[in-house]
Amino acid sequence: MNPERGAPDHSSDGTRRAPLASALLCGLMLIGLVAGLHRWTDGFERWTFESRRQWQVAQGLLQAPAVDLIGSDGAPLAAWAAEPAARAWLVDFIYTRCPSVCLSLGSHYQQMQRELQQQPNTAAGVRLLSVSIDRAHDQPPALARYAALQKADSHWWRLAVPASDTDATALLRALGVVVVPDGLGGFNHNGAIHLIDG
Amino acid sequence: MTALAWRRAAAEWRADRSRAVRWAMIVLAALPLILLWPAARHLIEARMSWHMLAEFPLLVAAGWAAQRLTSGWAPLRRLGRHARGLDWHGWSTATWCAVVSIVWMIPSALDMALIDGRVAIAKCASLWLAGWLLAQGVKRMPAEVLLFLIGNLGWMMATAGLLYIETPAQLCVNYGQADQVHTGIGLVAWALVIGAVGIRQLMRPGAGDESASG
Repeated sequence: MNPERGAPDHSSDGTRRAPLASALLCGLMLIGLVAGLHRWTDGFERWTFESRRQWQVAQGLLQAPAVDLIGSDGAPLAAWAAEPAARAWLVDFIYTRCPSVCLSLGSHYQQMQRELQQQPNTAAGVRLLSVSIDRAHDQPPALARYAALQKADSHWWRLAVPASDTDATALLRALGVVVVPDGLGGFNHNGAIHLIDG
Repeated sequence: MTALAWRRAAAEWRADRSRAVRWAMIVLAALPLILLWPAARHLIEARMSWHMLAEFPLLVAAGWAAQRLTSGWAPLRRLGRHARGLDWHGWSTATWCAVVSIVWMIPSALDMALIDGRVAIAKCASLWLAGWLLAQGVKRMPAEVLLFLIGNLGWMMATAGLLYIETPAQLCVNYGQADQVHTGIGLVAWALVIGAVGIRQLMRPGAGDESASG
């Protein structure tokens, strides 16, 4: 029983204008829905965040901001904001305690590092960068240990951590990287390799 | 006890229950304010199942409770008379509810609600408004419109739920696969509940007749 139930509706809905106005409003809402969805999903093609992100990458719409990074040696690292800038940076997002995705990325980076080392002239201006998403744990000493474990050659492959939470948020958001705590002390995150050039 | 005493006791009990219901509705209408507290919002929205199966219905229920609590206020009654001209037989209410439920079942929209504050505000406002409109609009709906509303909502929730269960990929970047499956099961359950409540509403004596005046 609802004590707030009001009297039956005795409005002017019986006039001709009421159904017309309602139909018009409904039509506007439906047109807005279809038009909005068409734009949001790029023609009803991309319904997930990741598919939209990949489309934006393909269109060159993602821009990496110039954020402050701290390298595994404790010194500031300018990366793509450096002058002169490297021709291209291949950037992935890891955390040193990661038991799965990051280790797989690490083996890919080792292979790429070998390729760069074997063709230094061709690979001039190309650099690898692994950015930690775990600022609380992955400060320079932890990054240095991880770099040694991964056999990272600092000329070709650098490890870094954003200097502040603001820098971390700006960088992750700009590249569409989403980090979600997994409830076990680790993180779930996208495992893509980002090409930052030009 | 004499008959008079029984009648007085019954009247007091009805008054007490009325007050209790009113307080419950005040609490329900105010409950979404907890989302303004970041820790609480993060706790609720950290799991897809809680986000979609608890927060969404809570927002709709809060809008509904707010409308029921304020239905006697003179300014809102005047506004309501004008608004009824735009909601003939509850068409606009049903359309708005359908639009809102479609939008917030899209995985990328759910992700954006966690990433972008403006999208989060739009989510809360749209769901709350759906509840507000339903509080009055459902009484104006003839059986056909009510069936459309229930059928549309139930079908969409069940379809989305099955999709969440069956899809091998993670649809939302903010939520894991297991959470997605649990949410899918919950959506299917909610679809059944909405269907049952709607059918009960349709089978009530006089259901659909309240809209006879237009």
